[in-house]
Amino acid sequence: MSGEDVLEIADLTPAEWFGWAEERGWGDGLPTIAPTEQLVEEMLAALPGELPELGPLPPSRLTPTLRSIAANAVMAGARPADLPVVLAALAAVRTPEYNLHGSLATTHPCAPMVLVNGPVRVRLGLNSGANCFGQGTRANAVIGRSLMLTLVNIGGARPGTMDRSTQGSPAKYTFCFAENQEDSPFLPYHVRRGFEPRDSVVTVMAAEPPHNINDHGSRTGEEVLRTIAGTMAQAGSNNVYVKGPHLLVLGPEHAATLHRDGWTLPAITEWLWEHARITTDRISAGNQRHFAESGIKPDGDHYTISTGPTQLHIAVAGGPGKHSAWIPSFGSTSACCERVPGG
Amino acid sequence: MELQCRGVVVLLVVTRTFLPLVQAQARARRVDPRVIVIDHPLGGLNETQLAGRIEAAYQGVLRELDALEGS
Repeated sequence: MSGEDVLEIADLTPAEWFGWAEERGWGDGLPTIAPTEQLVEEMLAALPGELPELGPLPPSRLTPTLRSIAANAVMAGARPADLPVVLAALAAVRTPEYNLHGSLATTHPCAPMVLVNGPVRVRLGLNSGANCFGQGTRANAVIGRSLMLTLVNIGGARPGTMDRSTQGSPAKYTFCFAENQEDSPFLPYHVRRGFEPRDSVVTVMAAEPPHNINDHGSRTGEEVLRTIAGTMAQAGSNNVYVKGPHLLVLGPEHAATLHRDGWTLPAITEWLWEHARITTDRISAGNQRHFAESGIKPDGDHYTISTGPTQLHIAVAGGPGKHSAWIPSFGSTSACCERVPGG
Repeated sequence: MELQCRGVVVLLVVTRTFLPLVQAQARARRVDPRVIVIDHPLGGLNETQLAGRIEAAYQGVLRELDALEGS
């Protein structure tokens, strides 16, 4: 190991380390674990043979080393087994279509959302069920946080300088969840994206936090869809004029109702494309002019929220209850997939 | 940067709020852009306010061009 790979600092207590790191802007405001040589080595020792290619991270344009990513994962509280998922997520956000530079420097509050599919969900104990977007599960918390710390500490996306988000969002601390494949009546998301069921896959998108869709009263699939369409038709969403992808995360009970009533995923996306629309009277004259400058004009007396049904991605996650979630995106981004090394 | 390499004079008009981002990006790219700083924001202004921003940017461009001519 060269001297440049190791930073010699005095022995610090955990509280002293937290303060020392924060003074240098290394962190997210929450306590971190000191990335000692031993902990970083343990991370690296557990990596599988074939790893995604590393490259420059905007906005700093620095290229991380495996060791530096492992150090950030240690800081986030990740375990060695979590690192391959972090590396896959990092490779996925480097896909040009993801627009990492734009999504990190924008005033929009987007965060790098990580959806995990396949066997690795079970192996790591990722939460795909109740409270899957919330607190309480280490794998969800630390994988999303490892990615974000890497983008901040190496990519340079520090709030106030490179990260110019007007308000930010809680999702910028961590935003990782798994699909509830076991309780889904539909094919797993990654299989629909062309992967094998045995593959472990991450999907990333520069996304807003989940917007809740509460529907306890509807009894049919079409009724549920009407509520979903109403929630998606938001006048202030980037998707209205920047377009791009968006993700519907059906709760298992809503998914079951739709499946029971014969709704297929293509039929759902088509129906929502037709019905999740914003009437022009809900858009101010000034904003209509602004949209027009971006080449966006109403379709009759409505605005659409994407360029077509294929922009709406659907997954199933969550536990018991009558809630689903809509996750709008930054707009200038894509839902990018990457296989997790080691399966 | 690409334009400058081709000999085109490049002036960057930036609002004061976004100046730290521009400076950080410039450091990352190892370039030293000619920057004209005007007040923030640009969106949501009335005609008078917008005219003020345009005038400030225009005067900044003139100053930079004069400086270039004198160098």
